[in-house]
Amino acid sequence: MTNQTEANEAERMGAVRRYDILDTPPDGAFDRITAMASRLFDVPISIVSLVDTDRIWFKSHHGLEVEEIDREPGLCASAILHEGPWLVSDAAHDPRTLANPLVAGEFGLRFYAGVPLTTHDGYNLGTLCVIDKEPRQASDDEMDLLADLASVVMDEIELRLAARRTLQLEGELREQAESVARSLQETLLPRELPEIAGLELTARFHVAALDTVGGDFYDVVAKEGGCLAVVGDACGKGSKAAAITGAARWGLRALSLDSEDEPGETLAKLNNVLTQVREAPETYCTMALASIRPRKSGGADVTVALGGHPYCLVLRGDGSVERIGETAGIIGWFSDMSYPDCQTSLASGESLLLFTDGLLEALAPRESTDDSKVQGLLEGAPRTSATAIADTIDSWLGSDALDDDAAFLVVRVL
Amino acid sequence: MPSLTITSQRSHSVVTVCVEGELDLATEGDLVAGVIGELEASALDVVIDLTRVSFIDSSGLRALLLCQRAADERSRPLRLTPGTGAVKRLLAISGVEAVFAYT
Repeated sequence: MTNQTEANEAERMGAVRRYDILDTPPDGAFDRITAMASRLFDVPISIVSLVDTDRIWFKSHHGLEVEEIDREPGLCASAILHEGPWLVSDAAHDPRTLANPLVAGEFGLRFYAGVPLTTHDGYNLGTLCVIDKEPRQASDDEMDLLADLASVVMDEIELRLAARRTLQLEGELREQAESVARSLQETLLPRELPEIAGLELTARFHVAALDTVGGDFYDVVAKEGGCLAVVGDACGKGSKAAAITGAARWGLRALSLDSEDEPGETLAKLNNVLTQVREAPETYCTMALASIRPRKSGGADVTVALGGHPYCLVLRGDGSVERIGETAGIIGWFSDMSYPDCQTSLASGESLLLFTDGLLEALAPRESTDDSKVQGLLEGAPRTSATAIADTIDSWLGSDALDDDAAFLVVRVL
Repeated sequence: MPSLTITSQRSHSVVTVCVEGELDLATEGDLVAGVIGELEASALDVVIDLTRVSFIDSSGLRALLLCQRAADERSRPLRLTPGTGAVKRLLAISGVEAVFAYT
């Protein structure tokens, strides 16, 4: 037990602040205890007090309208300097209190019985006390009862601190998880897209939940004579999805280095890499991979291969929107799959849109199997720049959190 | 909120696992556990009836792939009834129609 002296007042105040209870709103639990104490002792007033540096603040005050008094005349300030109960049967004749203004003055206090509210580490925060304006006696049994009630008060105070700490910890953990998710997501997405001569590129990413790493990804790799653009979706969320996303993204970069492979061949190789290194894989990804090669004479040649992924869209100069891509198997589950290439050319001002299923889902009701909504909407959309196209799609997605991540990449021929 | 109901119906030679609701990240585990449970409970052929699945995503497809793997590992036939909606579309997009046998 800490010795309650004025010398350790600074530490005691540290304890008072730790519980962060001063000036908190009234609380039924404490009010019930003071009401009960007042009835048991048959006295008009009962208080749960907390002794601050220069005042005594009442967490609960039964039978008294005042919320705080100066520390100086307060009897609770004296009571907390003692171990155990502090009893004054007739304050007007007690040398400890007879000169106290609360006793000698208008208030006319005569009876005071207080028990310190002692923390588990021995600091007296304040008291539970009962007060009368008539002198009276208190039996040992009554004082024991008051001490029991004081422990109940202290339990309530400890409980509130524990609850607040849990809440705080929860908040910190959530913040930590979100920050991990964010930084992981950042390593899974390119910081910025490369500049490719003759092309204009814009990518957008909508995250469904902040505290989990989503499965969507995109990347653009600059190549001799153009670029390779990919949009993909790893099955699931969290670390497993992040692992295959990372493997797929870096695998694609490695496979496309100094390689003249068409997208279909690249996907086949990536699929074999991912299935060979993982026995009985537990997750897979889907992707659309496109090579875009601007022509010197204007326009660009495009080749698209799909791995378990929805089609890509071509935004034509006449306002029409075409699908491109031939369905093929998911990536990273079955080995030795093949991925057919589909070719088209884009004229100047035409665009290729690569997107994940999250975009189709966000624009259609969850039960709908109609995936042509994006295509229909795009037919009327402005195409003056890649950014304008992306902004229009963003506006359809809105700012509400989506059920699933959505990523898309616009490649527009200048 | 998981919103998937899984019930089993037995006939003399087949146990049909009927799946109703949304098959996604939140519910995929229930399907895999349910189907593995049936594979181990009896020697009957297992059919997964997906006609009443209103929504399926990549996690739901993974669940079907894991069910197929569990059946293969036990050398047991597994068949799907995909219906005409969401499941059929996803099987087509994902290019895995040939992986499964159908009723």
